[in-house]
This record gives sequence, structure tokens and C-alpha cells, in this order.
Amino acid sequence: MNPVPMLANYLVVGAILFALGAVGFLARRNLIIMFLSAEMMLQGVALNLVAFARARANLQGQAFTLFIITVAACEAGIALALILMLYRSRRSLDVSLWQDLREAGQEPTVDEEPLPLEPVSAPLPRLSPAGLEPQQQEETSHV
Amino acid sequence: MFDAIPYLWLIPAFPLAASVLTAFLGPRLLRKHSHWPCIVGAVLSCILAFGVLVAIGRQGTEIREYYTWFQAGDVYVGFTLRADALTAIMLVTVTFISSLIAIYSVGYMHAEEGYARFFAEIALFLFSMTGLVLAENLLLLYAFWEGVGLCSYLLIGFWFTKPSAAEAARKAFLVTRLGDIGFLIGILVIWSQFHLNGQPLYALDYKTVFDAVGQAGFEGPITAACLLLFCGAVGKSAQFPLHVWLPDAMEGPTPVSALIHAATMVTAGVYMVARCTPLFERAPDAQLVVGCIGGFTALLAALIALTQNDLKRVLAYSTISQLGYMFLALGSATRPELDRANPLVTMAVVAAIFHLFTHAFFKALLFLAAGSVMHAMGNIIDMRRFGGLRYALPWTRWTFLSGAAALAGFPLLSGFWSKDEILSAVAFAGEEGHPYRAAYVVLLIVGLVTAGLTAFYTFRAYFLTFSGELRTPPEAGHHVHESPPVMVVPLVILAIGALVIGIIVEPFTHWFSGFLALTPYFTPIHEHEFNWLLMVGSSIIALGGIGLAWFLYVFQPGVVTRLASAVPGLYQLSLNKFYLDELYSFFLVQPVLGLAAFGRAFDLYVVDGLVDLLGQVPRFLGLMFRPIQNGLAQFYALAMALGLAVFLIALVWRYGW
Amino acid sequence: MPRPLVLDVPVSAPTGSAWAIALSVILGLVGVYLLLPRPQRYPPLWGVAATALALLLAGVFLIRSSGAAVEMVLFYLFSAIAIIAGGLLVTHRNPVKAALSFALVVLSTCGLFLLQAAPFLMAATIIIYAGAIIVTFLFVIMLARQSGISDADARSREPLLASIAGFVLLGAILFVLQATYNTNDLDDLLAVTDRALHVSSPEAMQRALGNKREFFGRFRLEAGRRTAAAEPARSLRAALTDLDAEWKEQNANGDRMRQALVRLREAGLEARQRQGSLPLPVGLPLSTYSQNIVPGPNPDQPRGASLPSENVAFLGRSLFTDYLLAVELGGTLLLVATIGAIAISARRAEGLR
Repeated sequence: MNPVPMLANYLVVGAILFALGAVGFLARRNLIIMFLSAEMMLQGVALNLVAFARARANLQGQAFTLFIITVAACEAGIALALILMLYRSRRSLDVSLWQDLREAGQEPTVDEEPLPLEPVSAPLPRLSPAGLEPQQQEETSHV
Repeated sequence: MFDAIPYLWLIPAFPLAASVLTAFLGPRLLRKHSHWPCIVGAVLSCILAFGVLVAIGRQGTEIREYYTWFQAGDVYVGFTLRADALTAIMLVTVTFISSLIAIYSVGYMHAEEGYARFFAEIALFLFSMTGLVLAENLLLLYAFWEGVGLCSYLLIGFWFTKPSAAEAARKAFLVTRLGDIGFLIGILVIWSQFHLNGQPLYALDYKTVFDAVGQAGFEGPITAACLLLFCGAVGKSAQFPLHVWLPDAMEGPTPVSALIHAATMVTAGVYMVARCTPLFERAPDAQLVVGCIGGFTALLAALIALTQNDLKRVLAYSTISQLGYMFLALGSATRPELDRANPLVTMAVVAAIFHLFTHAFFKALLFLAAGSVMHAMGNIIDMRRFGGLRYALPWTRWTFLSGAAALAGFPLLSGFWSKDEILSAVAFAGEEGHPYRAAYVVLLIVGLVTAGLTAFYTFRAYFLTFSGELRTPPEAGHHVHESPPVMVVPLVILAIGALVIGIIVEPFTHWFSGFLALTPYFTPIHEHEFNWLLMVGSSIIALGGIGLAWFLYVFQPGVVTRLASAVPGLYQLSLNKFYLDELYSFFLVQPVLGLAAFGRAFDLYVVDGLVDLLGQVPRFLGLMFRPIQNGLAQFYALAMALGLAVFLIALVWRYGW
Repeated sequence: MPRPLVLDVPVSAPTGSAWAIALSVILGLVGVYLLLPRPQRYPPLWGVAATALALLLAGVFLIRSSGAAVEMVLFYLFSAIAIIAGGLLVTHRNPVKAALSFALVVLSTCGLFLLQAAPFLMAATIIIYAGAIIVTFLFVIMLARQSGISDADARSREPLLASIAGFVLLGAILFVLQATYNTNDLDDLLAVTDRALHVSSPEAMQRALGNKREFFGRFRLEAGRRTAAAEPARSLRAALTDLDAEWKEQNANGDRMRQALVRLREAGLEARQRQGSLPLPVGLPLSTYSQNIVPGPNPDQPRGASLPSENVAFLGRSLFTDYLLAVELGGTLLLVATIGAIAISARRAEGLR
């Protein structure tokens, strides 16, 4: 079976992965998720390369993909170290906290819509230390 | 024998060099001696002017061309100077009086700040004036015309830090400018509308134009051209309605008033009309206008001068009045038949120029004497504040008296002869066969009445100043003293001239008229006899005026106040110059000021506002685009991705892969 | 008799017209926009429905199906999982769940690698990505946990513009792909040629081929389109010229015409085979290490048409011969990255704690 006519399918999938990764990178504010989206873009590219390698019947694409993986690994290492440093400064992973590149005299961008309140879950029951009798509560229900 | 004609160009050149020298070296180098270049230049010009006079008498008219100003095709205008009889007489008058006044100014302007500037401007004025009378073509005349206007402005506004002086200078310049517009249009009419044998003349030099108008193939709007040229004379020579600048011009130093506004500059108009006689004599309608305006102005100015309290103002209105006389004479130079020459023309013009000549002497004398009084009184010139100065200032008194008598037309003095010539010319024009003769008869009566008024107000001024008890204002200081010799000597010289120059030069010897008749286009006049009736009549009128003044101001001083309160309306009218200044202000000046204010507001708010608005546009655009730089790197990445998206759409659309 | 023509693409399926692309892209955009995290979320049903519909449309209209059923099934499965997991990564609020869905993306992509005859890459990607990188991400997420919902997770920066940017990009790529790999017209012509080959008489052949001018016009258009591939275009034109010579009104030679038609069919198949790929320049010296030049068992097959079956061996040989420098540099890069990561985060001791 001829691989070349099938090539287009894999290229489409690669394109879709790339586009989704781009949307995620531009839209999400969590540093980790942004980085993961960038990695997904790389996956789409790798898929493209491998499909071309098969269509052209040589291993150039696969070798290049191997290098992509290598570089992605290095990038991930450094990026995570940087993310940790940023987290340590502001105690948050939000990329919007870093706005100091803006024009002098311009107001910082703040979020106006309030977050929904998390329902406060009831505290987990705590066991009393061993040996002490727990304080009895009134039995309210009889099974 | 020495021939001065090749050195004709030095006559304007000497004062010009003096002016430049004084302007550049005066304030630093010459300082107190800044008057020397000016006096030397003026005296040298005077000597050369006498030389030219002699040369003309010997060999006739000369025209010298020096430089081509511009030439385009057939059109040619050059720096051409003409020396003929009229020019020579004017030159002699101007340079002689100027030299004397320059010498006088050494004393008057002593220790004045701007000493060098004064003499530089006087020398510049002398350059312009001599150039004016030497010019051979109308364009050069106009150029020097403007030059004297400029010097007048500079000299009236000599003390420019005084607001009234600056205003007066501006007023003088603007009002004469009004007249100059008509003058320029007249020059252009001559340039383009005069046709000789079907071809336009396109020439402005006297020789070509005056030759052309005499020929048979000439056609052109002579009356219109004459009237337009006369506009310039009305402005420069302060005739009604443009006379309002001359009294205000008394804000300048007194020598300036003497030189420019009595003897020389204001006579430029008279000179110009006299020069253009070949044009005017062929336009009897224009002549009538000239004569009427001259006569009316003479009467009007005399009426105003009756009540003025400022001595220099009296003399200013007197100047206006006497200039009116000169124009009255020029206006009488009519011909009964347009195509035949008439001796009346020459006679009338000679009368006008003769009066100009004598008027220069006695009016300059009167102004310089008034300056002497001012000098002694601590710059006070209001006659109500001083009096009885005859023993305190003897030289001034006697010279003033001679000038006043000459002005009033006291018999046998120079003013008498020249005024008489004018009146007989007007009488001649009123005879049978001359155009508009009825008008000239009326003008004759006006002239006689004005002569009486002249005598009256002149001696009113004399008696108010010099007779009665000695009163000095506090500004005069402790001891009122006579002026220094450098001021008195010119007074004496002028006084001698005012007394005797008239009788020597004209009535019996006819040197003046004979010489003046050498001017081209003037027909030689025959001997005429004296008009005894007129002479006796004018003598009586003059003596009557003097006597009335003596009566009212020396004999019975209280009568005047009773007379003034009896006719308060007329008195106020005269005192306030017939409210002409107020009328002009209301109808002309205020609208122009309003327009100027509107223009300024328009420029400030609309034009500047528009420019500012344009300037705000980049700022506004910047403010609009500023929020894009919000510091969020993710947003920047988004912007890049959007840009890429747009680019890709464009690419795919375009190439349609 | 020539071999029966087996086109491994059913001619009836239109492979991605512009409308299909536009519709699926727009639906995808709407779905992702609705699903992106916000403090006040839209009902997730709408977003899910939109994205599902978009995926369905894409699957039907954008993907060519071939004769091999197993491959298509696996392809659909792995692609769907990859795309859905990718969508989850982008839109999920909980970062841990998002990281885990990324792991799923990696796994599916590895499946696709395997389908493309790259077993080593599959294994390497799973080990390195899913095994090391994602685990490290999870560690960092755990270290940087905040209690409750945080700004970073619950909000999006400019969801509309971001979606538009990404999906416009996608639309452009899909459009270009469709234009490059579209063989619809050529398939029609080849089918017509095939039908003509099955009849015997020249007149019947001519009738089957249809209008002469239209037939030649369309074929020449196809030849003109393939300007990038010079050799197939040339042979196509040569075959057309031959057929033109043989196609006569009277006295057409049946055998010669048949031969011309067979040559045309071969040239057409070759052109279809080479669709969208650039030919190598003639005489370019290529390394033999990365290419499988051993002729396969089938002499009809053109040389170098398939990958070597010993993938790891050949990959290793090619890496250490053709790409040796890159391998060494890659190793150095890894070392530097390690040192860098340690250096960046080593200020833990002095820094704020």
C-alpha cells in the first residue's frame, strides 16, 4: 500500500494537535499548563516528521524527531526550575502576576470577576489521642 | 570754470556716506562728535548744489544716467538723475536749510541719548530728499518718496519709548501711505495707459512722458493720472483729508519739525505736482481739484490754528495752511485753450515754487525759534504756561518776530511777495476765458480771508509767548537763559533770509522766475506788472490781522475769554481740530483695529488650534495603542499569533493554494 | 491484460472540500471557546457537543480512508484519543488532571508513531515523555499546590482571541493540506482510463473516454498542476501525446491505442503516487546510511519505497554516521541543561524559604 496518499491524514492530526497546543499556550494562565501545551505542540510536529519519514521512505524524519525529544527534555528541565523560582517569589503559578514590563504609568491588569467560592468542606473528623475517652456527643439518631 | 554737473551724483552720495558712517561708527567711536559727518556732508552737498545752480544757469538742462535698475524687453528704468532749473532751486533750498538745521541740532540735541542715531537719520533723510528732487523718472521719485517717509517715521519716533511719539510716527507713516497708494496707481496708469500713436508708452522718465503728452498722436487718461498723482501729494504734503498726521508729528524733536515738516519733506508734494506741470496743465478738471483742496485746506488749517495752545501745533497748522496756498497756486495754472501754451501756467508754478522757497526760510526759522523757547523753558511748549519772554530771550524774540512778520505777509518782507504772487495767479485764473473761472474767484476770496487769519494767529502766538509779564514754568529751572551760539547763529541767518530774500530775488529783478522758466516745458513769461490792487489789499489785511492780535492779546487780554465763551460751539470746534481725528478714528481706525483683533483671534484660536489639534493626533493615537503594552508576555504572544493568523489568511487568499 | 487498477482510495469520498474544513474549524473554535476555564463557566454540554461534532465532521470529511481496515481503525482510535486528551489538557481546571491527559496525548501519539513504522520512537517517547517529563511536571504541580481554586486555573487570558488565533492557524494549514494532497480529479481521469481499457474495440474505447477535447484538456491541466514534480509531468505529457497520435476518427489501431492508454495509466499512477512530494534533485549525492536501498523482494516496486524493517539498527546506524555531530551536541545540551537546572534552583539555601 502506498504511504503517500495516507500522508495527509497524519498531517491533519498533527495540525490539530499543534493548534490545540497553541490555543492552550495563549489562553491558560497556569505556568505548568502553558508549558504542557507547548509540549503538545512539539508532539504534533513530531508526528508530522514521522509521517514524512514514512512517506519518503528514509529515516531522516525519525532522527530529527529524536533530537526534538532531546531538546524538549532539556527545555522541560530548565523551564521547571524557572517555574519553581517564580513560584517561590509570588507563591502562585499565575503568569499574570508578572506584569512589570508594561508602560510606565499604566495601570496593572487586574481580574475583576470574582472567583466562585469553594464550598468549604466539613473538616475531616479527628481521632482523639489514644487512651482518652472521646467526648461523647448526644446521640441524635437511633438506627 | 568749475562744472559741477559731472559731480551730480555726489549730492545724494555725500549725505548717504555720512549717514552710513554715523550709523556704524557713531555710537562707539564718535559719540559726542557724531554730528561731524552729517554737517560735513550737508555742507558739501550745499556747495555742490550751488555749483549746479550756476552750471544750469550757464548751460541748461542736463540728464545723467548712472545705472540700469531693471530692463525687460522694451521697458527700461534706470538710476537717472536730472539737473534742471527746478531741481537746482529745490536742491539749494533743501541743502542750505538742512545744513543750518544740522548745525542748530548740535546745540539742541546736546547730551541727548541717541545723538548719533539722530544725525544718521538726518543724513539719511537728506540723501532721500536730494535723490527725490534729482530723480529723472517717476519710479525713482517714488522710491525716494518712500525713503523720506521712512526717515520721517524714524525721526518722529526718535523718542520711541514715549508711547505718544511711537503712535505719532505710526500715524504719519500710515496716513502718508494712504496717499502713496494713489500715487503708485497713478504711476502705473502712466506706465500702461498712456498711448502714443497706438503703442503704449511703457516709460516713466520725464523726458519721454512729457514729450509724448505734447504730441498730436497722444491719447490717455490724463485727468485720472493727475488726480492719482495728486493723491500722493495730498498725503505727503498734509492736505485735507490726509492732514491729520502733521500736528501729531510735533512729537518729534523740534529740528526735525523744522527740517522735515516745514521746509523740505512736506514740500515734496508741491515739487512733484510742479514737476508734472505738462500733465496737469492739460487737465483743467484736475487743476480745479488741486486748487479747491489747496484753498480749503488753507482755510481749515487757519481756523484750527486760531485756538491752539501748543506753540508747535500752531506752527504745524500754519505749515498746512501755507502748503494749501502752494497747491492753490499750482491749481491755478490753467490754460484757456488746451493746446496752446499760456504764460499763466509758468507764472502760477513760479508763484508756488517761490512761496515754497520763502516758506522754507521763515517756517524753519519759526520752528527753530520755538525750539529755542522750549530749550529755555525745560521742554514746555504750552503757551499758557509761560509768557513775557522778550527780555529773557532777546535773540530768539527778534528772530521769531522776523519770521512771524514774514509769515503774516508784512509788506515788503519775503512772505508778502510770494503770497502776493500766488494771489495774483489765482486772480488771473479767475479772469475771462479760463476754465472754471468762477471757482477761482471764490478761491481768491478764500485766499484773502486766510491771509488775514494767518496774520492773526501768527501774532497771537508771538504775543502770547513774548509779551506781557514774565512767567516761567517750574521745569525751566532757576534762571532762564538764551540759547548757545550754535543755536542762535542759524536763527540769525534764517532771519536775514526771511526778511530780505524775497525782495532781492523776485519782484524787481526776476532772477527767480527767469531762472525757473529755464525748466523745460515751461514757456518763458513776459514781464508783467504788479497787481497794485491786490498788493494793497493784502497789506491791509495783514496789518489788520496783526493789529487785531495786538489788541486782543496785549491791549485787552480779557476780551478773548469773553469772546470764546460767547461762541463756545465754534471755539470747541476749532480747538478740537473740527473733530476730524475723532471721525477718522470712529469710521476708519476702529474697524481696522477690530479686523486686526479678529484676525489675531482667528490666528490664535482657529489656525493655532488646528495645528495644535493636528499635534494632538499622534499623542491621541499613542494613548489609544498604549494599553497593548500591558506587561503580560502571554498577551504579547497572543498578539504575535494573531498577526501570523492575519498574514496566513492573506497569503492563502492571495495564492489560493 | 494490464493489472487491474486498484486505487487504494475510494473515489467516491470527497477529501475535504473547503466548506468541510471551514465548518469543522468553526465548530471546533466555538467548542473550545466555550470550554475554556472561566470563573462563571458556561454549561459544559454545549462545548462538548460542539467539539464532538467538529471531530466527527473532521473524521468523515477530512480523513481519507484506504483499503486497509485495521490501519484505519487504529488510526481513528489513536487520533481521537489524542485530540480529545489534547482538548482536555487545554480546558481542564485541575492542573493534575490536565497533566494526566497530556500523558494520554503522548501515549496516543506513540500509537500513531507505531502505525508509521517508527517503533523505536514510540518506545523512546513513552520512556522519556510519559515516563520522565510528565512525572517531573506532576512533582512540580504537587510542590506548587495552592488550596482551593486559584486565579491561575480558573481564568483564561483572552479566550476568544486565543481561540481565533489557534483555529485560524489550523484552518490555514488544513486548507493548504487539502490543496496539496487532493487527487480527486486525477482519480476521476484514471478511472475513466481504466474503464476504457476494459473494452476491446477502438470505437468503444473512444466512446468510453468521452469528449476528446475535454479529456485531453483535463489531463493537460493535471499535468500542468504538477510542476513541482517534473518527471511525472513530463511522462504524463509524453503519454498524452502518444494517445493523441493514436486517437483517430477512422482506422484507429486498437492495439496501439490500448498500449498508449496503458502508458497513460502508468504515468497517471506515478503522478498520483508522487502527489505533494518534492523530488530530489538529480545527481544529489545522498548518504546511503539513512536510506534503505536494498531492493525489496518485489522487482516491480520502485526503489526506496519502504522503510527498513530493522528500524532500531538502521536508526542507530544513521544516527552515528550521518547525524553524529548532532548526537554529540545533543548530549552536551543535556549536560548543560542539567547543570543549568541545578544552578537555577540551587539558591534554595540562601533564598527565602
